[in-house]
Amino acid sequence: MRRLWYFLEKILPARLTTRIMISMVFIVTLAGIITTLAINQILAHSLIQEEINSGRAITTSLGENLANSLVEGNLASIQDSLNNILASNSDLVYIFTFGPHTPIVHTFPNGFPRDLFALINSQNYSSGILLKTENGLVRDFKYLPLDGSNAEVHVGISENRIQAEQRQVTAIVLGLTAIGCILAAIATYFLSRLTTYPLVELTHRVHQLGEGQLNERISYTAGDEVGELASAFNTMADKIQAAIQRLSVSEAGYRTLLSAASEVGEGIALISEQNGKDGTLLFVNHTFANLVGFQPQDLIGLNIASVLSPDSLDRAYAAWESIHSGESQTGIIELTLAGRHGESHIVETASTRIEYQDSAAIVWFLRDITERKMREQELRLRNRELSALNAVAFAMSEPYSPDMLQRGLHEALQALELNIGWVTVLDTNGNGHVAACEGMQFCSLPTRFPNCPCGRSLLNGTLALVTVNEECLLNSSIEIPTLGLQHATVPLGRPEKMLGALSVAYSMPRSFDEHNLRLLSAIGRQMGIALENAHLWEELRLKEQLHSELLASSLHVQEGERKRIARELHDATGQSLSAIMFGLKAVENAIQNDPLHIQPLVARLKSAVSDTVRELQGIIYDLRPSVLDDLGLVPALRWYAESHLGREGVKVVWEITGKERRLPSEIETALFRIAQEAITNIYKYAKANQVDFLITFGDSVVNLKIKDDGDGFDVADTLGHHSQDGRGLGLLGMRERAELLHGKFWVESSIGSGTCIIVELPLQMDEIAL
Amino acid sequence: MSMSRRSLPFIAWLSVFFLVACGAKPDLVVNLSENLEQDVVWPKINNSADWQIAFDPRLEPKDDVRQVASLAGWLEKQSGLSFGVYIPTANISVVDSICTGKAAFAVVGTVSYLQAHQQCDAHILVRGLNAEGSDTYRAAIIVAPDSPLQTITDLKGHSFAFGAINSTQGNLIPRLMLEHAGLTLEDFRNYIYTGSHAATANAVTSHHVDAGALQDTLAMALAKRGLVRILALSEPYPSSGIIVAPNVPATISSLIQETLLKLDPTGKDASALYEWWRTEMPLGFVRASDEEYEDLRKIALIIGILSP
Repeated sequence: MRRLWYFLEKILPARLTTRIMISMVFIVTLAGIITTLAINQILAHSLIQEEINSGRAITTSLGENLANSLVEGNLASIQDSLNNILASNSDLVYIFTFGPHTPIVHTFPNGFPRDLFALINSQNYSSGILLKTENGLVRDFKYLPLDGSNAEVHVGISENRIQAEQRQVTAIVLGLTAIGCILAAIATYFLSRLTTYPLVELTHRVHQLGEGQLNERISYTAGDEVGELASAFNTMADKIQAAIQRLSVSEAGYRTLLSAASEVGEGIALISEQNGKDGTLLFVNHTFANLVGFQPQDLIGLNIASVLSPDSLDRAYAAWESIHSGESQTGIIELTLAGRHGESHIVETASTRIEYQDSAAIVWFLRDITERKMREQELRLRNRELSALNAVAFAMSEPYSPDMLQRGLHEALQALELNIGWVTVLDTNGNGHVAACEGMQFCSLPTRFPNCPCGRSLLNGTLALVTVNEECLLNSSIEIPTLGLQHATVPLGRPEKMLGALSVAYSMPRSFDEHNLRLLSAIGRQMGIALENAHLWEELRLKEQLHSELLASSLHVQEGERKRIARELHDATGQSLSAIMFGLKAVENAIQNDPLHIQPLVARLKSAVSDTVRELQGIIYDLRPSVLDDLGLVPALRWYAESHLGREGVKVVWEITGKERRLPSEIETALFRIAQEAITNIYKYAKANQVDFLITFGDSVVNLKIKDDGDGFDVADTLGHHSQDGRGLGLLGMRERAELLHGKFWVESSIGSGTCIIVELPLQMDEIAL
Repeated sequence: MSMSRRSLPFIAWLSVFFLVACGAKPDLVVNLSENLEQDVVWPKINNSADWQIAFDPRLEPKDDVRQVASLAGWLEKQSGLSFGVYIPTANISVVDSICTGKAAFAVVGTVSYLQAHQQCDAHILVRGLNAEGSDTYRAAIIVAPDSPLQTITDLKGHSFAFGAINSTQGNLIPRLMLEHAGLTLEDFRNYIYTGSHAATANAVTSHHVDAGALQDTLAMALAKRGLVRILALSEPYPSSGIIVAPNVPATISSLIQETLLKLDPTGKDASALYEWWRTEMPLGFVRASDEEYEDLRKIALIIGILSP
């Protein structure tokens, strides 16, 4: 039954009016067909029965009429009767008869059909025998007029008329049925239209209601079922209007909430919940739409998969599946959105389930954390860099040594996740050697270094990516094939002071990515800094050692000077003061006892004081000649040179170039002390005959050159053994003074060729001009 | 919904119309236009009865045949023998059929019996009982109801109709009546032999003849309806009966005789008989003998029905 119903539902039109029409037509047709069939059968039966009755009557009557003639053998009478009967009834096809003593008398004009012999002496059927002839069906009726004798009367009656009538009646009935169907269809159409008009009206109102025209009502007050339906519709519309009003208020609240969420940067989307997999976007706020580069209206109706990155689909679906399975909300999940132009946005999402427009939906909250992720990534990279740099710095946080570089190289390779690397170090002459290597069998720089490709980084001061060639260090240092290998080389140090290079390579043909290159550069800088620091530490250590020696020397000199001053003070000034004291006591006594001796005493005291003062001035002058402060450098140098070299018989030659002028005090003091030390060394060690002083006053520098023709000395040896030779300390002191004032100091000397001291000090703007 | 689906109901609706008529199945297929027999066709006669019963034409031939056929059927049932009807022709009379052996038995009138007895020594087995239960019958002379004739003697000079020439009631007894009234055939203006009582009655009622002679029962029936007026009624004479041919074995003859005596035409055997009340033995049969017809035999000789 259900199958029949389903079949009917499939083939029948949807319109009620059409269905009613079809039903009515079907009913009328069915009734017509049944009627036709019934009438057909009844008519056929009736006509056939009538025919049979008629045939039997005709045959019986004819038989009765012919009986006597058959008995008497009155053939003429019989033939005449047959012909008359045949002529009088158009339904008769033939008549034949025979009697006990007569041949067959028949009405066939051309001879008796032999096929009819079968009817003679055959069983007599009350309804005759139906024959099929070339002219249609013929029913043969047989009558035995003379019981017990061989006499038969056969009448053949055509059934064509019956069939014609049958067809005619059938056609009439079917025609009437068809007319009835048409009339029924028309009547049904109008009736159904009349009936369904209120329903159509109701449907129209429902459509209007569905389109939002909530004020529409139906004014159909009939007391029938449609009237009840109209009343129910009006009630429903009232309730819907009230519900929509409440919904609007609620939705306004939701929209306000969503808008507020948009303003704080929260993206919100509503996804239809269909089996937890196939979600259609029902609503998105501007934040969400902007995130993926669309307008909100463009996204409505799209599948959520169109805005999700393929690698996030499974996680999203799993989360929503959990909601579909009963969880109220998901935890925070990170997903990737695919923007309209291919950009990706990493978002934090959380989902929950709500009812939206009477159907289940998933509310999807998301926040763009792309920037945060990038920063985190950046931070991780930075951390990695810092860790790498820390490791490198820690590894190299010690005085310079090959082990330091090896450890630094190892940490660098660890940080870069590489296993082949080497460190090239330059000496003071610019020659390089491999100070550390790892992942290589032997390390020796190519002969062209640093003019080879990797040495170019040293020349340019930039990172170089070098494809390994036959002259490359790597080509001969590893067992693996170097075809296609590439190594990266970063300089260590500053462009103005290159210390070496760090080179690293993959053990397979692979390109260096930007991060690794950046990290390598950072490591290079760190390593360079560490290397430079190591050098500086070494220099500092040396300098501090020198300083200590200088300080010790200075202290020693100071102590010597103090001793000298103390001796001179003690020997001269002290005694003079003591004499003065005695003299004063004598005066005191004289005042009391001998006032007359006061004056000579005072005169002697004055002379003693003058001598003492003179002695003190000599001491003071030796400490710091006032001429330096009063007259300047040149007069002070002249005085000192004359006083110390001249008295030794050394000829002093002066050459002053430039605009002689007063220099800042510290410049003059430094130049004076340097010259003082040089002069001291000359008269102590040089055994010179002549000393040339050349002072050049420039605009921005002052140059002092002191050249003697003495014995000279080995400068490196003297400086290297300064602790054993005071001259070495003196030279270091001179250099220290010059460098303290950002100047330069040279000493040129060789044994037997004299010595030349050159000092160049920069001048400041606020010098005093003569 | 596709067009084919939409048209399905309409097609179904139309096709039903063509399924309405259903024709009968013919019993036989014949061709009436071919295989024709040009010559005179005699049907194959199926006449397998052992014993034939002939008859004297009395009523219309068909009635005579039916009545005898019904009797034959009854005899067949009663005796177990097969009986058929032998229809005398113009060439072969009932007497000839008995005497030539074509018929074994015959339902005859007195004249035919007398002739058969004379010709071939046929014997009478039984004689019929008329409607009054009498084994005699009479003849009646009738006239039209409006006829002026009142007595037999008035018939002189008028036309007259006899029945069959061998009819007892239609010829033999009326001849006696005329003779007793002093009339001969020459006294008539004209006379005819109609061949049967019914034809005689028709001739009188239609005024073809002025008077006619027929069986009393028919005359009285017609007179009762006012169709004729009985002019005169004869004396009772032994009625018709059933004779047996001389070549029939005595056992068969005796069996048939005894069987006929048991006929109850108005009782249990009424349905087996065809309009037996119209016969001359409506109430059955009584035993008869040749001796009982001696008087009639003599009369028949006199009037020339029997040849001397």
